[in-house]
Amino acid sequence: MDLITAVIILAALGLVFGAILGFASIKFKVEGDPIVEQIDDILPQTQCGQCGYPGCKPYAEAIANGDEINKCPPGGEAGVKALAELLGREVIPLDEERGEEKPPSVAYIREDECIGCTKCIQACPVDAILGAPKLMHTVIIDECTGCDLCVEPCPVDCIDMIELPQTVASWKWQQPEQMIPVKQVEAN
Amino acid sequence: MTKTTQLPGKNHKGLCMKALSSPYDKKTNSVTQMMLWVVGATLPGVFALVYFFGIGVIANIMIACTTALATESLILRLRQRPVAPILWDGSAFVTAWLLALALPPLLPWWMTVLGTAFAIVFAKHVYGGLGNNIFNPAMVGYVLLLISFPLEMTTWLPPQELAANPVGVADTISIIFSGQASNAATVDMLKQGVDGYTMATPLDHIKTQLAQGYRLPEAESAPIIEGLSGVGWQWVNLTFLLGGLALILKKVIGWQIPLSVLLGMGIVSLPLFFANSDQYLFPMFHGFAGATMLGAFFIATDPVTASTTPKGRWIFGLGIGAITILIRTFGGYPDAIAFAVLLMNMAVPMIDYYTKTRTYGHANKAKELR
Amino acid sequence: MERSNFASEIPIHEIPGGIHPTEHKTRSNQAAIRTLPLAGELIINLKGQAGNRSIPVVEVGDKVLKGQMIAECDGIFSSYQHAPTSGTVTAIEDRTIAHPSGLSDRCIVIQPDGEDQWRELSPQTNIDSLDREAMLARIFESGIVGLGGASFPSHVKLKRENGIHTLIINAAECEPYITCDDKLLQEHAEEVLKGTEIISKLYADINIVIGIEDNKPAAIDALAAARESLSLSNIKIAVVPTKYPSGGEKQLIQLLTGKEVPHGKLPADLGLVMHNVGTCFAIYEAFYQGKPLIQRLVTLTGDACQKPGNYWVPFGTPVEHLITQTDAQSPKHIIMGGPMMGFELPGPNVGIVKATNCIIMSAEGELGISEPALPCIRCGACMDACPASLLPQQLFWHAQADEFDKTEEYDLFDCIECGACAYVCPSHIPLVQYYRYAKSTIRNNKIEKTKAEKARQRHEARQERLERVKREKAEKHRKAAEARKKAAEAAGKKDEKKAAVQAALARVQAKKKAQQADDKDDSASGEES
Repeated sequence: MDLITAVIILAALGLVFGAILGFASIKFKVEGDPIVEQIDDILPQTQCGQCGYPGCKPYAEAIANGDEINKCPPGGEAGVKALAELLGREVIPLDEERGEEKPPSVAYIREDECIGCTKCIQACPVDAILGAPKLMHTVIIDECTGCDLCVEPCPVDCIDMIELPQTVASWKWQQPEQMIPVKQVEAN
Repeated sequence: MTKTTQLPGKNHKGLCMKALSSPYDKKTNSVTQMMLWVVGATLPGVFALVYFFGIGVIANIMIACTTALATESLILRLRQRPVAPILWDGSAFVTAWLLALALPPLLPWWMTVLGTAFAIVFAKHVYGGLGNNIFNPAMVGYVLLLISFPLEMTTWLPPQELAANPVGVADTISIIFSGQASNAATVDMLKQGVDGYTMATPLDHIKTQLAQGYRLPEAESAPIIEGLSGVGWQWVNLTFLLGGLALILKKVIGWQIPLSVLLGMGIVSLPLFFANSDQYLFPMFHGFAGATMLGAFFIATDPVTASTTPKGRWIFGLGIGAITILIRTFGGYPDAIAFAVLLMNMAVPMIDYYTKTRTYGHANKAKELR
Repeated sequence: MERSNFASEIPIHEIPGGIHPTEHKTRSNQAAIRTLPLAGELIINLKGQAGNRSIPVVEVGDKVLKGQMIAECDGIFSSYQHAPTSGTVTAIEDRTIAHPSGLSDRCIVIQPDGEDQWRELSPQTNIDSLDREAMLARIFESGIVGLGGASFPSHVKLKRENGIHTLIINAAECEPYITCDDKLLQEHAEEVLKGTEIISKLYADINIVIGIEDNKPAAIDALAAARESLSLSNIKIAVVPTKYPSGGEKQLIQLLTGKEVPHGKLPADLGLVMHNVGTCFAIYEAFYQGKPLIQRLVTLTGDACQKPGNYWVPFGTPVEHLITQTDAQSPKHIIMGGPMMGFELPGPNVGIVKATNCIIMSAEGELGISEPALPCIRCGACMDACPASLLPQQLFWHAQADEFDKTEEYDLFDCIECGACAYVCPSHIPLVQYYRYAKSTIRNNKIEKTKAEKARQRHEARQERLERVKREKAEKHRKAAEARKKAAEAAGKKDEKKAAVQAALARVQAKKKAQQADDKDDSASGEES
């Protein structure tokens, strides 16, 4: 008899709490971005294809379907860390086969040498190159993501990748712990 | 936490340099200084303890401090941290010092060693070292000993003036290290008071008497009960109070936590006393008995494990005071500062989260919280 | 230090936190204001104010007169720059600028000709004849920016008229070492008050309060005397107790009005406008003498400085020149600004800018800079010192762990970087640097985020366009094929078999064509797939 009472009470409790939880899960449902959107948000949108996918969004979809999170060199270690945090995965080093993390840079067309073949324009994933057939092309620096994709197709090799110089506006304070001790160099 | 000192960028040749941020002026204070002040402020209390309970107190302090420094250096080396600067901050020393002050005077040496080592290793370094521990290390060590060796930890010597056989220096050392008195006298004899039975602290005495069905006025007629609380103990508490006030004056500790601990004790004990003064002690007795003043001014104010927000400090202190009285009155232990501190330590992250300050120009913080 | 017993003329409120560092002010406020010989070259930083870099209007080789405009503003928060002396423009190039980064930026370099010849000046003493617009224009054209430290263009601050009821003149000067505002008031109180009067004429009806710390008795007396002689009895002198950082804009407002500037709002939203005494003096000169802002009072001090005091220094004067002129003995550190909020200069060959109120040439061991940091013990001293009622220990904790969203949750951006927390920290943690690190990282991240968002949109737009082109081509082919089929049908219904074969052939051909078109498109979209 005792046993039956206990079972009934426990079952009843289970039902009640189950109902409460069920209600709460509907009532307080967190409307989040779909996971692909969140992953895409973290990716740097360079659209360089170094990950092996034709752009950041396809890679975001691949990650959501279980692909590794370390295939994005422009995102760098910080990107891997952010993805790992979002997806609850292990932080892993960047996949070296995909390339290495480089300082931010932009493409620069040596305009005298440009023959106006439009190949780079077709290669640019973000339409950041301006020009017309047989006319000189130029890069819109503010729109260039530094993806490198225009360098390869250029038949006369007139495109350079130029590192963006650090300016007073882009300069940031260092994390004190990461500061390398500097030896004092006396002025002569 | 390794941190290297950086020289600010000083390359006059205009090469890349690392900037060190302002301010470039600095108040001349340091953690070491604060720790030294804490130790110094306990000295009046230490003198009182030695006066009433003998040289064993000093022995405890020495054993504990040696253990702490040895353990700390060992762990720092194992964790591959620089030993000297961290040892020099004095925090391990203070932990051991405060723990020793809470221990009974004739505790076997290995218990002191065990408690101290446990405090340093498990309460401090396992959490990541100074600044990262959530529990007060001294109290963790104390509670470990209290629940492992309840008998030894609650057996105090009778205050010198009530002792039937005063304990000498040789006896003290001998008992601590071998468990045997140097002459024919047994340890039990030394622990006896004039009235013939083994002495407990006033709080312990009251608790036992009440448990045996005596009323409070009867229990209070024993020779150990005197003045504010009991023989010796009132002076121990008064001297710790004095040292604590000095710390507040020197701004080493804030006044909020000690005051709120005492207030918390008063808030709980006063109604109880008015409800039934035959069963419940007068708040003043609580204030000057057991480890109250040591706890309020020296233990609860440990900055690492206390709440750090203005409101939080009050809640933290009031909680410690209230829990102490509740355990002393209704629990199984005669004193409870250690438990109260540890319980409130646990609540600190939550207290801090819900008592955020209102930033300049912002509406009330509580409304911003989800 | 001596305290004034001048009774404040308005009630003073309290601010939370604050510290009392050693003042070090007597070192520089004893001597009278002096001038120095001109430097061999002046390096004028075009980014010497808030907002955008000014645009040079002179060319290398041009001769310029003292006070001649050499750079115009770019955008509303920028300002004009004028030649601090007569001479030749020798270069317009990147030079190391007065910035904690030690980076270079565009500067105009002028070699003085020693004549120090003014351009034609046009003073305007009849202020009442000017309308608001004309007054603002004069302030704007004189290149006047806030001389208290932020270098915010004054005319922008003064533009808003609606709802402004109180003008606060900031003479608190709460940072240690600095005495330029103190000395300016001691020697030029009348001019400062005349400048204040000019500002007050921009508003129909305005209360004027001068906020000053009680550690400047001489300046307070000078102010009171000047007010007497100019019979400007509507100006109130508010003496506040000496406590750092009472001279911060938000703090002084709280001290004088008891109100807080709401988060994300401006003092103007409370009906307040605040200007520094130096700015008032500059405005006085712009009107009464017609001079643009080309020099300022700079405190040269520090234990290494042998002739400490306050000097009129033309903008662009290299700090090196100031060091040699004051016989400084190999200073250990050169700090621009005060010890609490200033920054260490990357080198001595940096030009003075409009915000430079002080140069500290410190001797060995004078400044407590290089103590090693110990772990935070959560003592809360920083919290008790914070004038913004933040929780500095929590901000530090999260900034150290790169948890930037948490730092924002703890109101990181309400931190005024006054340094009171780091000053009192017993563990010597460079707290302010952690906050600056977190703030600059968050700002950079936001910029990157917007850039990435733009790239994404452009990429998506491109993908869509390629898709559309493909679709349109396919459609065209399909239509062509259909047309051919219809034509075939019309040609002869009898030979149905033949027609069917022909139609099939046409379809194949159309498909092939479409395929070719696709291939072209594929090659156009690059090596993505």
